[in-house]
Amino acid sequence: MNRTGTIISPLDSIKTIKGASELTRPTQGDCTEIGNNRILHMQEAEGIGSIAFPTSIKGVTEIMHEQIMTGNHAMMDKLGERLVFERMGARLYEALITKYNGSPHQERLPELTRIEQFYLEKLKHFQNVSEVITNLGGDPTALTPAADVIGTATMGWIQVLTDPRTNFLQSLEIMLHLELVDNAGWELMIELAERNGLGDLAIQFQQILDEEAFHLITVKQWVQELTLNNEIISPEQNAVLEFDIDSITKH
Amino acid sequence: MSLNLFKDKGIPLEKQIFSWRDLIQQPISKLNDDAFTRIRIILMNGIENEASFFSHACARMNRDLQTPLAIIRRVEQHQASLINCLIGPDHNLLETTIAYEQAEIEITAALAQQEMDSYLAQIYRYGLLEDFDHLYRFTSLLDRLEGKDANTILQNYTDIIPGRQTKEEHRDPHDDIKRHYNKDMAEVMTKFHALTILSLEQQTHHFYMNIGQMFSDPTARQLYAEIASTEEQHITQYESMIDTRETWAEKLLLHEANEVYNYYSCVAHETNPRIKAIWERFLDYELGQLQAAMEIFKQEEKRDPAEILPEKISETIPYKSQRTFVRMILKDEINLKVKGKKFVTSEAESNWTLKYREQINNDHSPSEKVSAGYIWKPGTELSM
Repeated sequence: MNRTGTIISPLDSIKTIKGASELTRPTQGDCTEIGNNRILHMQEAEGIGSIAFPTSIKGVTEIMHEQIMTGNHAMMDKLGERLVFERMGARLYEALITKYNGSPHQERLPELTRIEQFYLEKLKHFQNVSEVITNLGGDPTALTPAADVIGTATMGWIQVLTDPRTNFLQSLEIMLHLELVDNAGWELMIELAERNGLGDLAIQFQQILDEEAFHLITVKQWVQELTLNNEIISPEQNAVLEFDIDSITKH
Repeated sequence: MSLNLFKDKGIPLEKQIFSWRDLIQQPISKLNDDAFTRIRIILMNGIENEASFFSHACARMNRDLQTPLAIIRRVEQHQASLINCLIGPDHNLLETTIAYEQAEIEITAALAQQEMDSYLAQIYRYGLLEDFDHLYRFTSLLDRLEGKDANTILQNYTDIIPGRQTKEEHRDPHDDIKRHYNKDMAEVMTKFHALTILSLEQQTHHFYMNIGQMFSDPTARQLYAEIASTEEQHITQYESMIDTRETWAEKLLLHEANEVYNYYSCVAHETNPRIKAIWERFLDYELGQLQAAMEIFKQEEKRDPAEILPEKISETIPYKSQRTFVRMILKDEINLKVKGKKFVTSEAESNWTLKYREQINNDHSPSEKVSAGYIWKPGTELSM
């Protein structure tokens, strides 16, 4: 029985609501105070960190060379982000495969071979990016600021995928988030490569994007089908939902 | 129904065993389990951790006790791990914080009413109004940072109203030390209450000290620093209530007996059958540990544990909403302050505290900033 709302416990919730409105004497101000404090700290902030300086500049175009010299290496920063994103994506697909293997009613789920294909492609993309960074004179083992930020932003994804209590569809929804962001990421990488005069890389990135686009439409379709087929919760969890209405009124 | 501390011998220490699989059990559901189940988990984790901290301190001062204490402590270590991991991973840091504050409020309010020593009961009521305010501040933080409603954790049991303003809680250390109970005169339940509340406050303090740095927002980091500072005051205040003339062995005996009392309370009130089975198992473990502590006491003190402990425990912690009591205290004692060991009106605070408070609140108050203009509403302040 879900106990998180107010309707489940009408007498107690009325006391809480009335108590808060009648007994709270709020001070001046509003929620912008937190933002203002953040602005104050933004003025003193030193940034997330820097990009590891390339050990050599072979393979680097003039444009990139200038960027490196001026400390503005967007290309290397975003390559670092793609690297950690694809590596994490491979681990998340591993977790999705585990979720599949532990799920009841696998006949209702997408084909495992397709999921495994996506896993292998994520792994390949990670290795591709690693090679690109090395060829540009960068260090694929270093963490760039964009890579660190995306790592922070996605901390909850792995929590969902590795929680034994979540079901396959709940995990698949996270993969949809991942593929949406991944597609946007590769679109930007192609643009960056072209602007830096790295046409060959842009072509290579386009091939990756084509595979990622297929991941996206496939995962999106799986999520739609499973949701519309009412697979949001597992049969075991469904049973919990069929609670006795008397138990609510007693609460 | 009661428990006989001398005849109910529980499970012998050598049979108190675990495996890694056993240590990590299915966590409770944030959505479906009762909030008081979570409160019990938080408290019992704190109780086990206090047992461990005390045991280490005792071992550092008593060479002969190091081995027997290590044997008991290994079990307590695993009990704490098992209990703490019952909190599900979908409780994020702030949601867990809300649950900690709810635990402090509901348990302190319950024990304040059961406590027979009127001075100690006053200390509990005083601390209660401070923890009550913390809940309001953290609720605002959860709402304004993450767009989440603290009541989904509180489940309508606990009010979300300002208490004694957190910015007014900062005191000079001289004003945190209180009179202690007399070990020879005090009821054993008085000793249990003191240890229980001390354990919970200490657990909360450690939790805040360990998670404050995990927040990005500067106000959140400052709020954890501010409230952790008042939790440190609470630990100082509550530990000063305990008679320092109790010997190490006597304190060990009281710790183990208090654990028995707490597990007994959990068993009496638990609504989740799976969690209740854990409490029952650990009640048996604690009875076994108490037997070991009695042996240590006899060897060290050449005294009968019955001089310290009652034969039976029948009282349990009443795990239910204490809203009515809290509101009464809020109405009657909100303006109370302390000066040294005394409770005084706000005009009579010590110069030490006034000076300290002025300094610490010098540039701003995180707790005021986070909740400026805040009134809790179901569904967050963004609700219509």
